[in-house]
Amino acid sequence: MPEPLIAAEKVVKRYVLGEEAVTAVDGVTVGFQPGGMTAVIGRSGSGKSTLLHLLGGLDRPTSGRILARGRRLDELSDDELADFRRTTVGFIFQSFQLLPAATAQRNVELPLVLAGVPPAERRARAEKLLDRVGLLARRHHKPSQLSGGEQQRVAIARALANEPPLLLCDEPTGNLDSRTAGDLIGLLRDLASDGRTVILVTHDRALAESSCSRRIELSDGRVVSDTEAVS
Amino acid sequence: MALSNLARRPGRTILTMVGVFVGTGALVLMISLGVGLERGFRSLLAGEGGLRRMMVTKPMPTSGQKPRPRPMLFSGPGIPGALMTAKDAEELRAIEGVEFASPDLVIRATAEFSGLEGELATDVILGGVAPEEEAEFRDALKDGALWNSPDDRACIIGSRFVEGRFKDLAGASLVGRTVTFSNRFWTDEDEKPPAEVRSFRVAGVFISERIGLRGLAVYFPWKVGESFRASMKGGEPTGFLTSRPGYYMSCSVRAKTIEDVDRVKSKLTTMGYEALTQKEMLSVLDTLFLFIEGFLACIGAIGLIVSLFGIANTMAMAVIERTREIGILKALGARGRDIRRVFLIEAAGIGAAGGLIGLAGGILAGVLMNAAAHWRFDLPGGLRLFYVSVPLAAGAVGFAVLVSAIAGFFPARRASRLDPVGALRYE
Repeated sequence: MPEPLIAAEKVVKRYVLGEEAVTAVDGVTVGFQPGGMTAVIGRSGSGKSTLLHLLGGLDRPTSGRILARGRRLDELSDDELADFRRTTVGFIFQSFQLLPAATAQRNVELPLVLAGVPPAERRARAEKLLDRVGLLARRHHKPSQLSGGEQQRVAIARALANEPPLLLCDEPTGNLDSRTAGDLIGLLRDLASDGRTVILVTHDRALAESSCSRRIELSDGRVVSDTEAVS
Repeated sequence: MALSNLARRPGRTILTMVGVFVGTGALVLMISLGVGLERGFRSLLAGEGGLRRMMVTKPMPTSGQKPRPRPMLFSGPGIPGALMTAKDAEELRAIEGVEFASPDLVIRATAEFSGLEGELATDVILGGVAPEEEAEFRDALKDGALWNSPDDRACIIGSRFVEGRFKDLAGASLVGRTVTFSNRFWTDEDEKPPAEVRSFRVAGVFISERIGLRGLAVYFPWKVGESFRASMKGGEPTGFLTSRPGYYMSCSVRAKTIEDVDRVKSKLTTMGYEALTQKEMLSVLDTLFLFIEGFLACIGAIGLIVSLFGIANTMAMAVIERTREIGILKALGARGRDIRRVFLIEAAGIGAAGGLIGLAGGILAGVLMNAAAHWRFDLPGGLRLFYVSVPLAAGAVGFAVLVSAIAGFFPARRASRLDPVGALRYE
């Protein structure tokens, strides 16, 4: 079996909330091969978003290891972790997380600015990405002037800016109507079929079953099932 | 990104900038006052050949002559001092590196211009120009000429002589006028010997600044001055200046080159004379003005430092308001230093804009205050009390930027250290 693009080994994540210690992820071991779309499902508080943050290098595990192509993320410095996020991961959030004061184009250019891409090149790349998600005509609009679906497509274009091999989507359809959500899932499937690894966190079991070949279910921070549909 | 962030909260940015503006303006104004005063004094001291000049006096012998206090203008080492003679001047002239040496012919008198009778200027200093010095004065002439002969009853006057003394003559040509000098220092009620009065033709006007400290005086041909001084014997009320023929308070020595100054001075010391060079006076002034400018800069800098707290508060607020954006940037791969840079540039941007406006304000206030000072106090024409040099302007704006960046440092550091997940969830 080839080396996973990203993997968690006996990962535990504990928080301290007030005086209470909460174990969000409790000894999870999962691996994700390059390509394909995986759903991480579970009820609210099951630890799926925390697992996504750990896999994306946004957070560090309390114990256990996160391995990206065999490299231990939990041993990286903050700056190295930032480099990992910039080059390897594209995040898509439920609440879009766009910069409100920036236009769609500027939002898409942001990862390229951080990567030090020259202005002319990043402008061209941002326009190409916005064209791909069907928003080239609205590139000068600010998030407040876009619908929820459009904002999420801008977020997808932004996530793809540095051409990361891993897309981490945290309830990306949570704020969208069913038709827009369907379009968005179609877009993510296209990206997965292009060879990207898409990990989709959702509490919507039906959505997971209809769109993802692999489904990992979490409950109380533990993996309770990991199934792969046979195509 | 940083600058567009500033534009998002224009009201707050402008209010923060006002603090920097006021601080920089005060800083510029205070330091420019120190610089202006220093330049004024320096231009007075360092006239044409001024730095090669020194005033030589003879220390008082251990016993014998009665101590004589000297007037302020000519105070220096060797107070009280012994009188000097033409023989001393000859001895000084023989020193290697000395271009010229001459006794200082100093007369204190009251002046009156023809046509402006009744308008007197007391405590005018008159001097004699030795033949060796004539070239220096001729070069400094701005109007008219030197005297026709060593016996000519003519004088030359410094361009700033009339300023503050004869207001009606300000701007008017003095050449050809008659000026009368007397030793009449007392009121009519006092019982004193009759005053000695002599009239002279004004032959020329020289640029005061070119002659240095002595540029405020009036000069005669040496011989004429000597005879005038002798005639005033007995008329002096204070005894500050000697009028004994052949005796002088001090001698002027001019070295051939600037490099000769120190050598000549040390030779003079070994010969038993005391010498104060204008170079030394300048270095004393340098130290004095360093303190003055430092003090004024401290006062000015207080405003700017107070504005530091305003900037720090604004940046701290910005970090709180934009916590979620910081989380987004981190999720996109921004490193701590990228975040820090954004906030530092914003703080420095406030400093740069406030500093530039403050600089403009400081310059404008200086111009207005210069005009007011000239209008109120009758200052010499070229003197600027407030002088903003290029290094001062650049330094003030640079300091404003630096102070602002320092103010923004801790909020920026806090922003760079935010936990990305917590920041993304921040409401």
